[in-house]
Amino acid sequence: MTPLLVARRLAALLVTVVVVSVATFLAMRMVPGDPARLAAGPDAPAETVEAIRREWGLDQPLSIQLGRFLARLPTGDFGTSYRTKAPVWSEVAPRLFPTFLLTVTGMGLAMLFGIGAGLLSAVRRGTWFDTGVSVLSTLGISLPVFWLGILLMMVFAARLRWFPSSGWGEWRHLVLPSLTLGAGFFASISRMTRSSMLEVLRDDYIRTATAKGLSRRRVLLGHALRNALLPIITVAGLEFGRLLGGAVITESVFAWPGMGRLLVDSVKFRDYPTVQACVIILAVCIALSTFLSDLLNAYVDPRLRRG
Amino acid sequence: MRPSLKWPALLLAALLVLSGCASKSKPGPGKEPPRPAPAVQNLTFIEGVDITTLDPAFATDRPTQTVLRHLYENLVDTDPATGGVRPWLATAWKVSDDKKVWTFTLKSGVKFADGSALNAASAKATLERLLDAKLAAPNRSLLSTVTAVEAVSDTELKITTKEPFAPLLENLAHPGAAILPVGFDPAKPVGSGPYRLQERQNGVRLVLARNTNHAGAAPVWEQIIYRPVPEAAARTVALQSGEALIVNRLAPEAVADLKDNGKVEVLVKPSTFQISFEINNRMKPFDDPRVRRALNLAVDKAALVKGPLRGMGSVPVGPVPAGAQWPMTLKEYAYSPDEAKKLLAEAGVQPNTPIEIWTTQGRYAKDKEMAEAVAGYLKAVGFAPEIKVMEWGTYSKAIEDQKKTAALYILGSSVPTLDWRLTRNFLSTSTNNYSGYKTEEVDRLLLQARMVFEDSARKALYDQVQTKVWEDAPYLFLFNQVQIIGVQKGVTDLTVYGHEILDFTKAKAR
Amino acid sequence: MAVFLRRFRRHTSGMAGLALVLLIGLVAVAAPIVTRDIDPLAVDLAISAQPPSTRFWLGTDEMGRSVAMRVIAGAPISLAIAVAGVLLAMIPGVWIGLLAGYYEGRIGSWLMRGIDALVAFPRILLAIVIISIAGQGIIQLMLAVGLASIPVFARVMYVAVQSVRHRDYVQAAVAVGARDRWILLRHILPNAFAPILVQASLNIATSLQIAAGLSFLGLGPAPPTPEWGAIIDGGRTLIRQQPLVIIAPGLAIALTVLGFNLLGDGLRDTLDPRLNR
Repeated sequence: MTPLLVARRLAALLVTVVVVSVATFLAMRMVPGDPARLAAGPDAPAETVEAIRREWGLDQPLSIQLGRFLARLPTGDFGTSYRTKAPVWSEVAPRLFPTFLLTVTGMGLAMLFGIGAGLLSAVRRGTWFDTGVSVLSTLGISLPVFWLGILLMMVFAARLRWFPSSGWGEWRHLVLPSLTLGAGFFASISRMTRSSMLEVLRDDYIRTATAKGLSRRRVLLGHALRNALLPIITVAGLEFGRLLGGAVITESVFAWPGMGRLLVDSVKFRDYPTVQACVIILAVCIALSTFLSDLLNAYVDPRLRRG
Repeated sequence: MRPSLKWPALLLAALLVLSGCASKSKPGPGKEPPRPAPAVQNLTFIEGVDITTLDPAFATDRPTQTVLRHLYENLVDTDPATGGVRPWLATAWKVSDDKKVWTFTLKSGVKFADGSALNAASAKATLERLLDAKLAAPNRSLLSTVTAVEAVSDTELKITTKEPFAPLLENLAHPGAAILPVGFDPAKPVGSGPYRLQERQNGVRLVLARNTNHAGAAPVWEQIIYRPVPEAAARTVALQSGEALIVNRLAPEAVADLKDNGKVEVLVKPSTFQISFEINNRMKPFDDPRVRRALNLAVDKAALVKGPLRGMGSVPVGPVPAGAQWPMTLKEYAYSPDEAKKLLAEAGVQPNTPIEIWTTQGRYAKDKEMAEAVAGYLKAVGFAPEIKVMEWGTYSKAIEDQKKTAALYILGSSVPTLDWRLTRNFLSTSTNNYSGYKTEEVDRLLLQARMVFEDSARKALYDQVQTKVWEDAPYLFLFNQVQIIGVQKGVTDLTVYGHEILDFTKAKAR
Repeated sequence: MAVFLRRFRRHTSGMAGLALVLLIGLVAVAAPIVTRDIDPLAVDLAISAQPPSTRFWLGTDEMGRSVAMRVIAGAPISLAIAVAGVLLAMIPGVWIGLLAGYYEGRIGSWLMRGIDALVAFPRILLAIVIISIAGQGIIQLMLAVGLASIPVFARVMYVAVQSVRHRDYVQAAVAVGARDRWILLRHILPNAFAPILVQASLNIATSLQIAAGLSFLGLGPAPPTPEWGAIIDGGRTLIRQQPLVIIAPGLAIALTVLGFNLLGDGLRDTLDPRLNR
């Protein structure tokens, strides 16, 4: 991975961000709904709504609005939130760390258990263990997320009082939400791992390694797993970006201050500036995580290294 | 030579660190205030949404207004018992003979949280700021008839209006008209209320601390901690686990759950919130009041309250529910589908007339369920209902369209004061009159009431309006909401206003 | 073909999956007949949220309707959304990934940048935009669910193709002068397809989850559509009184997902030439 390559990817990232921003800009304006009316509330008279609209420049033609928006982008000025009248950055910044923390923890736990489960399923293909893991991962991905979350809350917070039911502040707040978030991902990872491992285990070089006399465990962990990791890393990279902005149900249930909830609430209220800011930040994160997973893939599989 | 893993690892670590730096809130020991047990100096209050602003001019939703009530004070206040107006920062007031000039006498010795004095100059600055078109404040319409504000002395304030406007007094009691210091900076809010802002973490927590410069009696609680929890079931859990002293907006289902819980208590209070399906008065055959009355008779509202609302609500007996200003008790539209069918036949409505019902999903309590239920009832009296659901943003725009195809669309009305509430809904020239209801009599009465300064005379006029509106049935009046508030046992003296604002200053816990 | 069928028949869990899928398909097909007499708009608030009884085997929901009937009625709808969603995502996604992975030059690069841009657009925002513009209904749900998942397939295919591309048999084919299309279809696609199959069966679950999530956000289909995700969301407040309103459709989703997963695994195992020595 040469510096030139990195530079090219970063340039591509920039282009992606701009494209996505403009797409969001246009998409939001295509969606019906009047931000000024939503900010003023249904009880405010039309003239108040008009005044607000004028103040925010929403009565200007689209091209001017777009121009103004693009002009402000490079300076990082995201503007003022329509909903709270505070600078958008002050809404978004405090949510970055909690979002990352939740996503990384949720995915981390899911991958820890998922890769292990998938690996063992592949090795014990067709046994009860295999079917058991299959059923477990099916439950994980098909049980309604909020039901799982509320269930965990009722058992561990209300009944046992081991953890707080919602909110953010200590490590204890992290446990229930990350379990809820990771449940679905556990399913994907375990199945992907199983499938990948099965492919790899039949490859010739594995038989060679076994024939050479390497211990089974060494073969599994050293050779097989490494080569099976490709699709897993790909999926993980994609899911990371997805979960950053898409954990809205978990965040709502546990009152977790995350980007997913902010994005959805902002869209609900047509808070254009906040939506733009969220999308840009998420786009950057997603692009970076894709980049990261490509790097990891290149590390793991030399054949991909040409970039 | 394998490329090292240091790049990906560094990148991931960098992301985490950067985000940690960007956000000022990080987990750590002792960050969370001590878990509250009753009889501690901190009151933890859980609501369903975060506040939207700390600037009264922009505060339009009840949770925000609840918080602002503790930070700021108004010239006058709503009396929770009578619904009338009582003195607050203003001790007395009078109106000139031509009824266009109000003179308020203010309390002296009042200070803001930063120590500066609150006087007529502050009031003048506040009201002028609210009126400023450049501020584009949603609450500006509170003062729409005001032409001039003058600070005659430190304790005397003169407000001049374009025409006589009796509702000005009650408008000044609205949280949007809270008195701010000259040069108010919304980024560093300062008020004269019993509390001041100590800490704000967006979407997580708001902490209010006692304002030592407050002129009145010291509030009971040293700190008030406001926590938004969006999911109703999670709020119930928080109450059961003792994580909060007071939890607002419990789901109706939670009441039965908590009945056997000896450690908590559920308060059920009336609300000014009335949920109706507005009828498209411009669309045939709904321009005929007989048809609209038939719609009201066709729906079993008592069953709606008993079923989906689990008894947490009441059947409407007038367009203004208890808890608002001067409500009237009129004759209920009791469930009588036969009567409804008769009226419809009389009005010449054909069987299987299509009726398009618009609803939101999650904006109002049980809105989607209400639509489904109403559709069922209307089908039973011979309509062919079709339900269209939209999310709030799209919906609020769509109902403004005069040419919309909807016959019924759900909307809630919560304004506690009658001038605003009735003119907003029923004055034919009101821009918020989405139903198209137009009656010369109601128009005349509403505009006339604005110029009547004597309470009983004004009330008489509004009584006439309420009676006429109820008879004409421009809406399918569905139910009156109630406020369901969960508290730990032993919490008393919580002040609850009809328009869903709470006041904690006097609340006590064992 | 016959060989394939014989092999598949021996794969027990795959057969179980097939059986499950066929069962659910049967329910979906039979649903209109079974629920013919039941008016979806008929509410009976007097019996709302009742526990199971002899009359209502799974109890009633918020509006007094039979939970069992609603779940059955929802089978064709949710199944259609799930399958359409996957196909809408898989077909374009796999093609883009295939072409991008094989033609590594400018075309491939640009295609993947395009996919990256689509990935960078938050899926939830995409769904909200689509539904807010197109309205709330079943077709729109399919669109929202499907379009949102195209990038996943594209990316998985892309990576799979890249790893297969340099294998010996592909290089041999290139050396011999085989046409691109031949190489793509005959060598690359079959060998890169395993992760796609897994992803497809996973996507059945994801599609149903997205549909349920959209109901959660208030973007679900118009009532009284008994789409499983919509039923679950409707039962949100009944989590203590009548948990069956959530559990029944949840279980239906779980069984559907399980069926497709096992079927997918079975297909994958059977099609993998290396497993059948």
